[in-house]
Amino acid sequence: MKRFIALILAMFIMSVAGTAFAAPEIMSVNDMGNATDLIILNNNTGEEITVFEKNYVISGSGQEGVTVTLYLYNSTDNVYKKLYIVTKDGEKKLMEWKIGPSGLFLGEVQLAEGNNWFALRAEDGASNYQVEKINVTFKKGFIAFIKDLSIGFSEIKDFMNSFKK
Amino acid sequence: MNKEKTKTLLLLSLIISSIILTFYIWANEELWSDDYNFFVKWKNFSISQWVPSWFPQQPRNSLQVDYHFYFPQKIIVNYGDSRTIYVKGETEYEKFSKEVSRALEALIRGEQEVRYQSLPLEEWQNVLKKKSFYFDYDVAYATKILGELYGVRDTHLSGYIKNIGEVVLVPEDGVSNDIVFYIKNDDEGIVGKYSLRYDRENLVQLIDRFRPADNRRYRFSFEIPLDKPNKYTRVTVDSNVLIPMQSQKMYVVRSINPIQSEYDIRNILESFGYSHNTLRKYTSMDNTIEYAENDSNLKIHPDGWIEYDAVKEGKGLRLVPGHSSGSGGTVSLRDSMEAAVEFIHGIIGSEQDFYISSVNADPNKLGSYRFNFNYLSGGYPVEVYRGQQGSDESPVDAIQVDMVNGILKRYRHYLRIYDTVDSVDIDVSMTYIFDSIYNHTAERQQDNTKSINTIKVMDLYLNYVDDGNKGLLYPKWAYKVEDSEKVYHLPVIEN
Repeated sequence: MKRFIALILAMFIMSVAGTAFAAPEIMSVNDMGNATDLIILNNNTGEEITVFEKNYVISGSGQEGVTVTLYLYNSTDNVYKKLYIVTKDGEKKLMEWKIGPSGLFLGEVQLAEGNNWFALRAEDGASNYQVEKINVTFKKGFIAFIKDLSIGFSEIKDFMNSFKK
Repeated sequence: MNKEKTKTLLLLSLIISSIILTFYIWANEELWSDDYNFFVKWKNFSISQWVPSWFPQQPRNSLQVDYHFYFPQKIIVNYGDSRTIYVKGETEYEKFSKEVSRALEALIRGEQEVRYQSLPLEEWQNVLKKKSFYFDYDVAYATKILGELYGVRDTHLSGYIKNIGEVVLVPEDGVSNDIVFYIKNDDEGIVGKYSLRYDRENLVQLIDRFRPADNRRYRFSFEIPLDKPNKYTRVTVDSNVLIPMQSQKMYVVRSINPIQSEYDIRNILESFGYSHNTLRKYTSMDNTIEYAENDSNLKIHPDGWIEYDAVKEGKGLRLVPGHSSGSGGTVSLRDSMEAAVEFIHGIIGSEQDFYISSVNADPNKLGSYRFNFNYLSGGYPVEVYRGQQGSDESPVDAIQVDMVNGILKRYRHYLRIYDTVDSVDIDVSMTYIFDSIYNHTAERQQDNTKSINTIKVMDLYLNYVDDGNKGLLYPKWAYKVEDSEKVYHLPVIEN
């Protein structure tokens, strides 16, 4: 009986430990991590980056076995939330990488116009985790603006023509 | 009396002209029987070629070989932060390559003043970020040969650069009305900048009209960056390698040997100018059929390889009409290549796409060229292996043509038609690909008892591999690593 209880207790502790060190759904803006040497980001951190293209590549390198999770700042709740992208099949896919033997990770995200504040949480499966932040501002270029306007006008024109038919 | 004379003269001229015309049609269309006879000997006799040359030559179902053919099979349009690749066969490719090729021809001809400036090699990455067209020849062309492909015997460019591999064309340099070519000069470790006056309206319109295609965006390795090693990286990627950012659509293709019957063999024999009834025929143990004539022989292997060799000096199949040996003139590279392409189309038809992968000219023998071609399927290259792939074998060129002064001396051809079967959406999770490259390389190096260092990927692209086995060909990732010319492959993952 004692052994049975000990086994149940051990399983409970293992599951809690496991979940405690999996990346949480939400991360505080003040969370700075407790490690600094798990990953090296290629993107500039600590300064505002301004871009004119909506597709942005996040990349870096790190120790094999480290899991890197991408978060996006939510201004309403003032927290970082895990970032999910919607695939072609309509499924939600978490932006997360497990670093393999190459030591590399990279992925592309689509930016919203204006500020996009990202955080990356890298965990090594023990109790160590590193947090890096990237702040990207997406500004639509003038040419892209005019093109969108012209596409908008042609869509209105097609809509009006559909009534004529 | 005068009337009679005139009538006689008219009659005589009519008779003579009808004899000449009859002889012309007879010689040109080879309207003699297939059996070995007196007239076969006269086929290559100079007079039977001299008479047709009086008359304008009618094209015999010839396919025009234009600049598309020796233009690289993909062109990259740079929009600043991102770029799109277009491959041969796509409408956009045709539009871009046509205009860019025209501009390149203007540079090669040098009829307008060309201003040259040399820049440090480090500038190349800045150049790639400009709004521009970028293309690279898989194997760099000798500048002289590239010039001859455009019909220019001694291009002035040869004075600046020996080999041309990578080229960037910037239609608007923001300073003047010139267009600017940047050509990487690896031999001297510089970038050559060539400015010339050119009507660039079409180029500018094209680049503005086509925005980056969402499903075909690429980044250069240096932009990510993947080319800078640090304490964690075990794989780096050469700066100029293009990394796909979106899934790629390709096809599963079926590799078909078009030789299915005696009829197909007859067609091949006719292409080589053989008369089926006059050849000596042998069949070997492996079912290779060999045809021998006095001056040449032809082998047709059951796996689709055909081999032709002219066995006597000065003999062979004349592909460029109007030039006879001893006439003193040499056949140009351009004419030789066009004749080679027409000949190949005569054997495999016009449905199967192929491209020129390299050209070699014998510097000691004017008019002597070797052309190497390979197949394309859906715009993607097909790598051909003769024998089992997976050993240390390297791919071979699917078609090899040796010509001397317009005469075919040697011909090797892997006969294939690639038929699309089904489409496949390819996942481009690059971390998986780089991890696989590392594992793949580690396995090989461990087999050779080498220690594993950081691996530098020098090239990465999608292609097909045909190792001669029947069946379906699936797309593969092909890659090369530093210090090795060998091409390695990884299976793709479908979405």
